[in-house]
Amino acid sequence: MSSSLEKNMLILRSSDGEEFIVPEVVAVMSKAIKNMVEDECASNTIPVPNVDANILAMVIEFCKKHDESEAEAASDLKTFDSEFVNRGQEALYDLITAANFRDVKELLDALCQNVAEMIKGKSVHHIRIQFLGYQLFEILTSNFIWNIWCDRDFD
Amino acid sequence: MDCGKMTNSKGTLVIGYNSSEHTLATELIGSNVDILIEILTRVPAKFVIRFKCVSKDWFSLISNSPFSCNHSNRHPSALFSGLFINPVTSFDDEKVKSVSLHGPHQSLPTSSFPDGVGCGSGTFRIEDSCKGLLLCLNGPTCFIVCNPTTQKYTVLPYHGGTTTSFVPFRNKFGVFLSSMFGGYLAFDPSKSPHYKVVLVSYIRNRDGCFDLIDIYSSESTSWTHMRAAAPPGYPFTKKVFWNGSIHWMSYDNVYIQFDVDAEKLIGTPMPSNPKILSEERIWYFGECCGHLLLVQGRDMGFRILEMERNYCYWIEKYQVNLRPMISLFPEIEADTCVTRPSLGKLLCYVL
Repeated sequence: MSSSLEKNMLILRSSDGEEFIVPEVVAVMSKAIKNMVEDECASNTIPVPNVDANILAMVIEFCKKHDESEAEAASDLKTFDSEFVNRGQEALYDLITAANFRDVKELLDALCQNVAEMIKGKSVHHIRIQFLGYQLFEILTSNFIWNIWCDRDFD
Repeated sequence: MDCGKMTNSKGTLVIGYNSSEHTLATELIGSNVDILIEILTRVPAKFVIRFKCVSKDWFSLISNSPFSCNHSNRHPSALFSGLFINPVTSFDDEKVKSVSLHGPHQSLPTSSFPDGVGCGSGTFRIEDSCKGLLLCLNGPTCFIVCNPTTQKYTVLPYHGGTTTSFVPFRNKFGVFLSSMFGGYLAFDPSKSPHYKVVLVSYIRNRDGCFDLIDIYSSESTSWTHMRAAAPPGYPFTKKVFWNGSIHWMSYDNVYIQFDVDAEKLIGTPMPSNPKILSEERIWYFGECCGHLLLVQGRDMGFRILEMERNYCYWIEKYQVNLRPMISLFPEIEADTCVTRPSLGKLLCYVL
């Protein structure tokens, strides 16, 4: 580890080259990074491909809060989580991909819960447009019988 | 948030504020099965079922049994939506009734759909229920497992064969299985999508006492039969399926379990304290919040016992004295209170 760094600090480099100095305890909340650190295959700078600086900053903020607030009341953390996922609405899907790819369980939990809340009252039609946009044409044309069955449920 | 950072100049993954770009991101999620599973396991069952219509891929993903196991693990405490009540007598015009617990406007699915199925000249009764499935008995020997929500049912093949001693008892009300006999449904969707039906009958003859146990597995769609020496004491009629085993007690204070998966009958003699009263004094025997509870009425009150984790002894949790309450509300009859109370009425008074 580089001597210029404080002990137990790591540098994370985002896909667009920005670097973040974070405590090791925070960084290892990502299982992917934890494995790298444990296998000692991590140099002092850990590249985080596919995650840009904006998203990485948000992920780090989330992890820091969760690390600090271990002793804090669970309800405080819950409030933070719900504010976090709401604030991150535009980047929600980016964040999920990052949380899934870097294996940050708490963040993935909070985000997926949020999406689940968003979609739970939605119609099948709405879900198709949102999640299967590019396949929609194919679904509507090639699966004719399937659609007759499904369309019973359109609301 | 800095919008500039969101834009990738190569245009491979462009996610920003405008809605068409946003849709692209949801589509990426939609094409990532791992994330989709993470999200759908968090969506309540009612909506997940509806999402089966989204596409063939979603249909097979949601119908997949590991997914449904995960889903039911995550949503364990589904509220009871209502009660099905067996008819008191067995006259033909009496049907199983249902009461919704979510107000009078929310009607329950009907339970009459399997009517006339099977050998059905006899009466249709619900023998047992477990996690949304009902085990019904139509006529003396025709078992039907049905799911009132989906209105689907399976008529089980006749279990006969080795259990020659199995004879339904007749009385003036019609054909009934003897009080020593019981049919139980063993189903835990969090562990397996398959259920088992277990018939337990207690036989006493010259050779001694033994339990005949017939097990139907929905996985193999066939019956297996076993015979085990009965633990001492005449068995209580009340039995309960919980935690992978059927539990009951005997008059010799032996606690009996039949492990459905291991197909093993275990009798454990219980310490004499706390005393297990006779069966008429049992108000409730069953599961509550992950514990096996036994509520016994006694001397103008009741007490609640909880089975210890290793099934070695009962722990006395609460003792409730109803005397002061009865003196305040004399309309509660002391007799009914001790023997066969309407627990609901009592609870109303307590509240």
